[in-house]
Amino acid sequence: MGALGGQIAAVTGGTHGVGRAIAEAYEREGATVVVNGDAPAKAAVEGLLDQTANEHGALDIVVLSAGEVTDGDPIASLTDDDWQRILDLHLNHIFWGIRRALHHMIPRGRGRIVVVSTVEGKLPRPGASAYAAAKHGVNGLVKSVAREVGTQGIAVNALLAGSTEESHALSKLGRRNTTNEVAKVAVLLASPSVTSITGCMFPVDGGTMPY
Amino acid sequence: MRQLEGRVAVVTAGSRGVGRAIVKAFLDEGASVVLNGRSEAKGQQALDELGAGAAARFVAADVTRREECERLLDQAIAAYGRIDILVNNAGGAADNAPVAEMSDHCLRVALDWCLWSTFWCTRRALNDMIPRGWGRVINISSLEGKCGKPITSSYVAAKHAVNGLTKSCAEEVGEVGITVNALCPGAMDTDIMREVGVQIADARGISYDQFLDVFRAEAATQEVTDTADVAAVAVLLASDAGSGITGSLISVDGGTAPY
Repeated sequence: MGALGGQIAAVTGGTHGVGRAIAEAYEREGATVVVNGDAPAKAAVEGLLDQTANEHGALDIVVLSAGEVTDGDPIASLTDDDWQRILDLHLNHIFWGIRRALHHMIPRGRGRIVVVSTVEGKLPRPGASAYAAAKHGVNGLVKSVAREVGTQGIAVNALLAGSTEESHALSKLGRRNTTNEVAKVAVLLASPSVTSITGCMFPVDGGTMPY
Repeated sequence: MRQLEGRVAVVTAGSRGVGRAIVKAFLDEGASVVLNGRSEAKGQQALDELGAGAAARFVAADVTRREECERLLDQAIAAYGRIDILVNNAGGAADNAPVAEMSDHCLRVALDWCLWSTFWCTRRALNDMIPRGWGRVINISSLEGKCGKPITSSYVAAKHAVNGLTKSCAEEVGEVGITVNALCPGAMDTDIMREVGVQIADARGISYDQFLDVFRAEAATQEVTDTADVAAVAVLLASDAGSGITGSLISVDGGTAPY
């Protein structure tokens, strides 16, 4: 039996890219995995988690991984609509997912939430300030929620990976990170046996971030 | 296939505590491991309890001395042909006091034990790793490598320095296939913690469990850190799948550190 044998997982953005790599890694480790595509809409996020719990009787692991990098415009010309759209995709989506996941996890006293974020959670991104603001916001959200539910058997972590040419250029390894490398860490963060990692911004970035 | 099949690892202070948990996890994943400690008796006991046969060896060495660090690494190479993974786990402090009253000796002990040992072992290991273009250096730092703590300043300073060494070294060797990372565990209920903790608790007029409660209170989990979780992250970093992670200071502390 794999590290996630018998676990029920839902993965937003699990049909492509890093979300898909994580979903496949979870299945290899023995989990039952339900995925959807990009899901910035609240109803889609909540629907996936409710459907997974209803169909399989539990929700042990939630991975929130929707959204490609969104550049937008420089802040001086960024519209309210773009600001809102980018925050919905990269921050509100995480809030909706965590809130709904906790509704399923708190009564059972167990759960693992893995937020797939990027190095812009700790780095600036000129020309994409809404995106960087959202990703920084994810870190604050994750760290605070981890403390809210830390004694209830629920771990909440973010995984920060490089995803753009600009961030890859900062890598100390001189190469891109692979989706498989991110997926291996996502398995560790979802493992029911690992209890001491929560509120962690786990880097998979080739040393891109300064802290 | 096991994740560390065929790899050779050196773990300083590997007889007991978190070092021992890492040694066991590495052996379970197929590595050959040289574990180090100061006491031949405790090392032999560890080997007996691990029951790993030829896959594990103990080398007695005091890593606060350069020549002993270098001898440890050289003996590992002599035994298994090379070093793929170095875990700088040894570290500690003694004679803690508020800075206003702290002795020179207190700072020197912490720097020798945490920082110089890490530097000496890493330098020697890198000279074996660089020509082969593959390596993993895993420094067991601490929550105190990220946070201050009163009456612990020598250890805090030494662990912050380990983190700085980690990040700089990672930049130097990243493109030759070597990763350098630090793990920052919270307080762990290990043998050494029981020895040191009981003394501190006695001095404060509290029980050992009340002493641990001070650490628990800072964590999101309200628990101390499980050594097996630190070992699980060490396995990930040491494995092929860990090749994309370098220069990182990874907290395994039940959600204690602020970053």
